Amino acid sequence: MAGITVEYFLFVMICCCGVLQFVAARWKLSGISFFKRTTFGYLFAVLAIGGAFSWFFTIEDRCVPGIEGAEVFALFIASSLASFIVTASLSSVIKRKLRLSVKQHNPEEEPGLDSLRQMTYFQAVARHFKKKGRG
Amino acid sequence: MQSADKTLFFWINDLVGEVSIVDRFMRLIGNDYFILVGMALVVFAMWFTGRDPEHRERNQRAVWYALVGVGFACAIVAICNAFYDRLRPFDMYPGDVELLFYRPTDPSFPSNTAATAFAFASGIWLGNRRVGYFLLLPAFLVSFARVFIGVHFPFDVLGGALIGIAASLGALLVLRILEPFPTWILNGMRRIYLA
Repeated sequence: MAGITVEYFLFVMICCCGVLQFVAARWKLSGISFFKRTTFGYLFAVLAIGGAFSWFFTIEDRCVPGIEGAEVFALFIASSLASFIVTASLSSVIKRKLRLSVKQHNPEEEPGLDSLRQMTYFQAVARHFKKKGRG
Repeated sequence: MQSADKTLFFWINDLVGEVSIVDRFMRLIGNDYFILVGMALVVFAMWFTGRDPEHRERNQRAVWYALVGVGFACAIVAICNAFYDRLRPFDMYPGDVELLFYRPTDPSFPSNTAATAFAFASGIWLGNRRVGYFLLLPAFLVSFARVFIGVHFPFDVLGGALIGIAASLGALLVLRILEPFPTWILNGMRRIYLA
């Protein structure tokens, strides 16, 4: 039982990382992308999602009793959150040089995911707290 | 009604064994994870999707409808199961059903899988027609597969689908009544760059 729970958590987490790279490439959210070129983002998404599905459905027969409905839902939420944390942390480390464009960023602009087009997640959060400290 | 359900069930379930690749495909899409995880990933992607903040907010509201709808659908299915215990096809007609799956022990009506899949699809449809229509395809596929592999009668999945659609409409209604709380939550998430 613990085996399938861990496998399912990893499966969803890897898929969600792939989805995040896909949306980062599609909607130019450079702050959460691991790559400079969007092509690599799409490629990563295909490999991560395809690889995770192949792995999860081939290592064992999944037509056996497994995780209960509510548990599946809770695990999906937990692993998608974990994937966002992993993606935000990794991309913030990889793209720390994006700091240059923060200076060009309009400080009056509304917060939200659109800010991640010009800065990494950690930079965005740091800017939010700086503004709060000043205000 | 029961006889139409039985006839339709055996008409679909008798296709098992005709083409082995179809059997394997149905086993794959009819299991508890494949289609539902795929649909949930589309819903997850919708949260981040949008050409501008307004478009993204519409998608994010659709994600709310879908998630709350799935919660409502699961609750309604649990309530139905507490009051009505319909036998699974393999229990009702032992020896006659071609079973390609394990033997679930919960009641056959309504199908939880169909309810969840249709709650996802209709919840998204309420906020984004194009993606909603796209998600209806896997919802129909998984519902058909559950009958094909022998774990549900057609009326079980039909009941599940209706519950899923009703649950999403209920979610829309409840979230509208609860305004401005959902907007506050969205704004709060936007402030920490999560929406």
